Amino acid sequence: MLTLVRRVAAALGLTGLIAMLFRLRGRGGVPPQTGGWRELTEVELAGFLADEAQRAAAAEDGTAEAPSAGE
Amino acid sequence: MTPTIAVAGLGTTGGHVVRHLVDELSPPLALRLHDTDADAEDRARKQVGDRAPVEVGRIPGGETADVTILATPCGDHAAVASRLLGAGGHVVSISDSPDDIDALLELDDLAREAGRSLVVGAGMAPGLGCLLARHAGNQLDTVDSINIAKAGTAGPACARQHHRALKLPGRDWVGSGWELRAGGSGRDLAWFPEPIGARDCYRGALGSPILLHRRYPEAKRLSARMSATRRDRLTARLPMLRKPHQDGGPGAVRAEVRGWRNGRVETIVYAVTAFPSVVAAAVAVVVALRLAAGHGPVGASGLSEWDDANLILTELHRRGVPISTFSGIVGDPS
Repeated sequence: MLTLVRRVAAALGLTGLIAMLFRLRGRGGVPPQTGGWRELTEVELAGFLADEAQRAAAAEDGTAEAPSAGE
Repeated sequence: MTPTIAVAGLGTTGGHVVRHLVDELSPPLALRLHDTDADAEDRARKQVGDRAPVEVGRIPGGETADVTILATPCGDHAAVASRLLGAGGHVVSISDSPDDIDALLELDDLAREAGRSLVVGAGMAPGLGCLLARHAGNQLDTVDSINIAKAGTAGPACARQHHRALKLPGRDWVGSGWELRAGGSGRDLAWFPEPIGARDCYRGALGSPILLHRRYPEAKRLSARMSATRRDRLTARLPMLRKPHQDGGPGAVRAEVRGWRNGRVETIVYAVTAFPSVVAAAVAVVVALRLAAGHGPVGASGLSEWDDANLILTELHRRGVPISTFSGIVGDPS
């Protein structure tokens, strides 16, 4: 029984030690400070419509750029 | 001539469909309403008032409507759609059950022979999710992967389907084939616009990948997930422990599309946070109005196959559906 208690205490202690090391020595960096959700306006949606018309015309002319697999 | 639009199923979403059909943004219409509950029919008739001529009764009954919106619970959409197409009307189904979607897509030949449109999955997800994915896909040269995530439910029938979907396996398109994945697996933390925020989402029997594959067969990965809590996952295999809410409250849908543009990898994320019942109804109505105006592809199709997806999104925006884009570190690590 005493052995079990010692083992549990050792396991908990070790876990705490590792957690403390991560907490103190971890280098998580700075969380992103920019970006987020932004609501689209009707003007933007209409702009997309115009862009699409251009892209469709370019695709018909065969002038659309093909993706390169290297990047 | 004033087009006739029929609405089958006058529950939470069906009620919003009727409301959208008679608002100031819709053209003059004649309505035909049907529900198995006579009280629901009465409520809908009162809701319309004198804003449109209303006929209440079985669908199809008498003269077929130009367009019928099926807002009934999942299960028999294909049988009803088959009768309506045979009678010469367009059909818009909001069912999100993969079984219904498969059965409806099998009616493609019938719809083509009749020269009519059968729109499959015209709700929130599938539906609005497909439109957002198509909108993003239109801005890319090629699409590699699409992931749809949704949170929340509409009325009680939708909540029951949501509960059922979480325990059933879902189909993901991976590489060049369908893979069956266990419902409730594949936890993915998805960020939705506020007030929904971050939610754990899981696989389930969801219809979006089936419909997206028809438009993007070359994509390497098509998947869908639904938000769920620990309690939802624990009780998914049990009957629902309590009666679902009349309306599930605010929800959201999100489409994350990765692909190539001008030789660079791009990720575009669009989302909408709103009441699923309201949004699903708005999508169904906008699509039905386009069909009534003579637009839309002949045959069975999901909304990602519609070339005028952006016009539908613009119309939804006019009806108060807020479409958001995520800008920031996604696809732009600098």
